[in-house]
Amino acid sequence: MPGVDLVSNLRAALERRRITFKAAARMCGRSPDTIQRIFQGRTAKLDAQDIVAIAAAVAEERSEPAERDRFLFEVFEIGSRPSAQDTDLDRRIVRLERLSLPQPTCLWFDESGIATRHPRTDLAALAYEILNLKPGREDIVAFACRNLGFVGMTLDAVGTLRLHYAPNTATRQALTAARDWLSEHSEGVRRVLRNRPANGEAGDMPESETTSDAIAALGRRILAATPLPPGEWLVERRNIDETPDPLRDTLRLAHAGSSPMTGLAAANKLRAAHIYSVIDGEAVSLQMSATHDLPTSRYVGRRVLDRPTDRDYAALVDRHLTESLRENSATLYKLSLRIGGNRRNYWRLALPDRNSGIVVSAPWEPPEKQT
Amino acid sequence: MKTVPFLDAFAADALPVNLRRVASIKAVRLVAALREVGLEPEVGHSLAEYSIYAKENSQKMSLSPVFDGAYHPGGVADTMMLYGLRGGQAVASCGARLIWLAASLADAMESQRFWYGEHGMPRDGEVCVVTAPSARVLEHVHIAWVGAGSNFSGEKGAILPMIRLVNLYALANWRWTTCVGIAEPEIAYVENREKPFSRAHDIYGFASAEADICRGDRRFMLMTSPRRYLEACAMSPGYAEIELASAPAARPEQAIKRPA
Repeated sequence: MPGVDLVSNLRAALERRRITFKAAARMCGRSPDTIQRIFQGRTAKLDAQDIVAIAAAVAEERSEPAERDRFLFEVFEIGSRPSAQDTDLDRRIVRLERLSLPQPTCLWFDESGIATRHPRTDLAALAYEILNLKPGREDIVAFACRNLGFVGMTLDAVGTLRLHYAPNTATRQALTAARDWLSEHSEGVRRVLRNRPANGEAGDMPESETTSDAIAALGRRILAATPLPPGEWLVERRNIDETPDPLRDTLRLAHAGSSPMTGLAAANKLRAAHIYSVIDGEAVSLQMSATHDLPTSRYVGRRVLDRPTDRDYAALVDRHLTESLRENSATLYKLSLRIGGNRRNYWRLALPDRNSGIVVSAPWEPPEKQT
Repeated sequence: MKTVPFLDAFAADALPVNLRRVASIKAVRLVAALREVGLEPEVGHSLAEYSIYAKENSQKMSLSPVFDGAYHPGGVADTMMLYGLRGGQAVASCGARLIWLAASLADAMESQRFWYGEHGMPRDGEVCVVTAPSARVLEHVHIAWVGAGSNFSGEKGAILPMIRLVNLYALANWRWTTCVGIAEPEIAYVENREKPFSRAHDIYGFASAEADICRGDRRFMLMTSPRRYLEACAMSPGYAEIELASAPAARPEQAIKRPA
């Protein structure tokens, strides 16, 4: 395609359909800044996969598959422009596809992984039925996810699956049953809207993703919800109110700054600390700048649960950090465990800052060791 | 009055995983019991709003300074007022506050800071004398203060599921070491001398009741319960199975003398 200006074509195709940068970014899973940088010419890298993803999302939104080819034709200037006849044919295909899709359904996987299924899409009504409770004004779906560890799903007539769960409380059995169901029925699911967690709770911020992404996300939560190895590990949460003074001094220093991190950095206590953020309910390591002026210059590393080795330890760290941020209070754990074959005993302190979503995690020496 | 449904406010983050689901199911059962008699449990976090409610109904209930918005602001993090609503009107209430004790509970009470905050002033000549031993021991800890019970809904037993919902909320949403409350002796005692504190225990869920907290011309028992004890009570099988018609009232119909 020499001589084709992809960026201008893409901009024109989006404008023609009144699609904003933000919507386009959501469609291809990029940040709006990335799209804006492309259009401003600040980066020359334009991924063809992103354009294909936007075209597919546009077609899906309008329930008109020909729109995908039309969009791609406008951007890449290859192939032939789909005609009005193609559109009619597409509509007929969509009608046929709908006939082959599964019937609308909703499912609850309870804490034991047992599914309750109903041929309708009202998840709340089914939750009231399971809990044997008269319907009220509350958000019963959020309650069931957040407190009971349930995983809920609704599948509508066009193959959109809405997945509801709270990552920190969903049980391993419920998550596993949901993942298995999704894997089995993936051919009937065209897209997944996962209710992303806000501050560790089930929130109403659906974001479209592929079935395989949703299955991978459930897999990570299954890992995080897996019990620690019996006998090998001793993990004990300690009440900070009952701990002796050196720790309280550390906490005082942590809260002296504008955030725990700057407080600890100012007190020169940050050398051995690690900085994490909780994104979509999952702990992600951050590399901080030398001036500690997070969050404006933070660099997102990888998910803690994606560590290739010591997966039990990764699950423990993920749990500790998300718990600390959710409660917005410093948490202290006494650990006795085996990492990479070596026995380790230490105390682990997490200091959250809900404003920036950052958790500072540091080993802490108990007073008997310090003296 | 700004309130949210109880189940929306309930977040069992402070409980271990194995107790979280049990507590949540019990909360659902207690909410169901209240709905059976037409009461809708809702949670507010403002003590100023609770004070207005208490003053509007001053003929039927009294306002404790610990729950008075004039002395304590209250907020989502440390205050929950549970209202039983009938037709949108609050007809019963009960509440809890999460309080940090920088000094001992006895010192805080005797200095009046506990009752009237840092800036409030007690009534003229009002003195608080604490002889309950536990009040001297509770120091540098978070406590859950439970109280503000009132019920003029018509069902004499409706307050019991409400108190239990407050206890569950305090266990589930907050971290503390001891649950504390006060009650007049006739409320804490029953006639049965072999089991003198069963009312404090059976109704309010406290493990012990001690004499005395004297404030002005009124005398109260100090009721306390360690977190583990209240947790064990709340997770016991019958905790949420309440027959409202036969449930005891929060306040006995006749004042009962304290055993010698």
